[in-house]
Amino acid sequence: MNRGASNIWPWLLLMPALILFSLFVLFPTIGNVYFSLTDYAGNIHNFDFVGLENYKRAFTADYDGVWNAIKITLIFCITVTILQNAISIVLAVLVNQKLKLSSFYRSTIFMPNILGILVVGLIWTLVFDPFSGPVSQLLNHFKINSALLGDSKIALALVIFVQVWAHMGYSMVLYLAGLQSIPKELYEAAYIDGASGWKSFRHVTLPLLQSMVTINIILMIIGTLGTFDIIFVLTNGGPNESTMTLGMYIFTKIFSGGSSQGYASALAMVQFVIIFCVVFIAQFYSRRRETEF
Amino acid sequence: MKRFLSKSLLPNAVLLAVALIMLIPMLQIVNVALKSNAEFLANPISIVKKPQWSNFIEAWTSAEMSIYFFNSFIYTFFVAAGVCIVATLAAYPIARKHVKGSNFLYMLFLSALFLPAGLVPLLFIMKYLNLMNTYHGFILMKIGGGLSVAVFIFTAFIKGIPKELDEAAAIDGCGYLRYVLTILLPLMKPAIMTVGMLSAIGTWNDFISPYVFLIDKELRPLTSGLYMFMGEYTVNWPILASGILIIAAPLLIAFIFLQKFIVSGITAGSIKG
Repeated sequence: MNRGASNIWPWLLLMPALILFSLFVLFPTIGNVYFSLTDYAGNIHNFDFVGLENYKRAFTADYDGVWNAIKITLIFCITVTILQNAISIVLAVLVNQKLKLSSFYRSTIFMPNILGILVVGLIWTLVFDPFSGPVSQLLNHFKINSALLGDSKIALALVIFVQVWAHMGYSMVLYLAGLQSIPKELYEAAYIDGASGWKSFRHVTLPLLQSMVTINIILMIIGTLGTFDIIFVLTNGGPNESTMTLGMYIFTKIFSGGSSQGYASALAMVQFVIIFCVVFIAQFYSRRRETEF
Repeated sequence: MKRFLSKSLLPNAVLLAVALIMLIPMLQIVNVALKSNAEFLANPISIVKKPQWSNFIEAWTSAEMSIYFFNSFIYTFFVAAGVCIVATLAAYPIARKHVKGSNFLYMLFLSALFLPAGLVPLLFIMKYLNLMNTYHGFILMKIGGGLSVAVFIFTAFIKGIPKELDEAAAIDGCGYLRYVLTILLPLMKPAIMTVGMLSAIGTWNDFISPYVFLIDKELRPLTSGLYMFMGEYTVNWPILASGILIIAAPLLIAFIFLQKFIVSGITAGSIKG
């Protein structure tokens, strides 16, 4: 029996979701294309079509700023993706062992994901405070003076550290799920063949975890290439634009006066193309290494 | 015993070090929150000598947190409840393929997980529909944004509920909507807990959307209230730290009791294959 086929009820039930989804997700995603071709500046009744003007501006007048933002975004994305993956795989393998405190470790490492970006950002603003934070106190002990987040040479590295600190628990949980789906017999077989420790990790665990690595890498790339919230709290893009990622650049453009929001839309399109390309490349290489069992 | 010790020594040492790196910054916030400003300025990293519980009261009153707390609760409750109900209603016809193109609809909801949200068009539509700076506008927008993951998790869950149940209910004369609300919904409790927790945490913690879509101070939730407060009182870290703890407390309590649902939601939400 197919009770729904000739009935109006299924559509009625779908309606609220379809309306909300179209208005607040679908339209904004597609609408970016349109707004990037206008001089929309916040006044919904008065804006004009300007063709590719916004894109021209991004690649001529604002070339330095945009290119700097793209460069920082790529550094941020690649470093975070590599570090976070490597660390969280190791952590997942470690907490997957039968240790007395396993669940304590797991919860502690995962905790920042519950606290949210604002709280995490404020915690580290305090810890990295150049006057009264513990880090600068510690450095003073060794006669090192540093403005930490205020120093354009190391601000990006510190932001990357906070990003990994805040999100590695999330990837760890995903890897843990992957590890627990690997059949134990495979390890026994490997053990009989003389592989244990590092060898069984390298030849059994890693290959079978590859599909999880793909998922993690793609999630991280999408996340980091668009990042601006953590930067908004920690540095606001400064000092000297040294932490100005593309996401942050777009965000500031939306709210800075004089600059049209249409221009921000054009930058968001550029961002979309970059995300699409990077995800495509990463997916291609990562999927090729996946093994079935 | 000796072998056991040496085998678990290294993992324990590494994990303990990591746990300390996680905990020390959080404990430092607690430490600072309990100090008087004078003690903090004189000795910012020593362990607090005389806990100043009044810092919490001062943070609560000087940042006008009672309004923000109320707003945070309203947003969190209605967004989480809204996402669960709207997504359940949509997931049932999709999971049972009761409409033409249900596969397409499913993919449409899923695709949003990979597409970046356009802030500018979203601002436009919020203004166009007069939803800027209103409770209902903000809640509706957040529900819309949370649907993708929810529909994905619910559809998978409903596919695991036997179809025979639908048929038995139909024979007994149970209507379509009544079936979903009175029979299906209670069965979906684990999935609803998971999705509800995820959207509640997301809404409670969100500070970008309130910053963008809510202008009046009276409408803002805790997060953006605290962010504004930070701008006014950069110098007084003990009060700010107390404010941070006030925001984090409900989350930590929820995490301790409902960890299972949160973790299962994260795993389910990301393994979309």
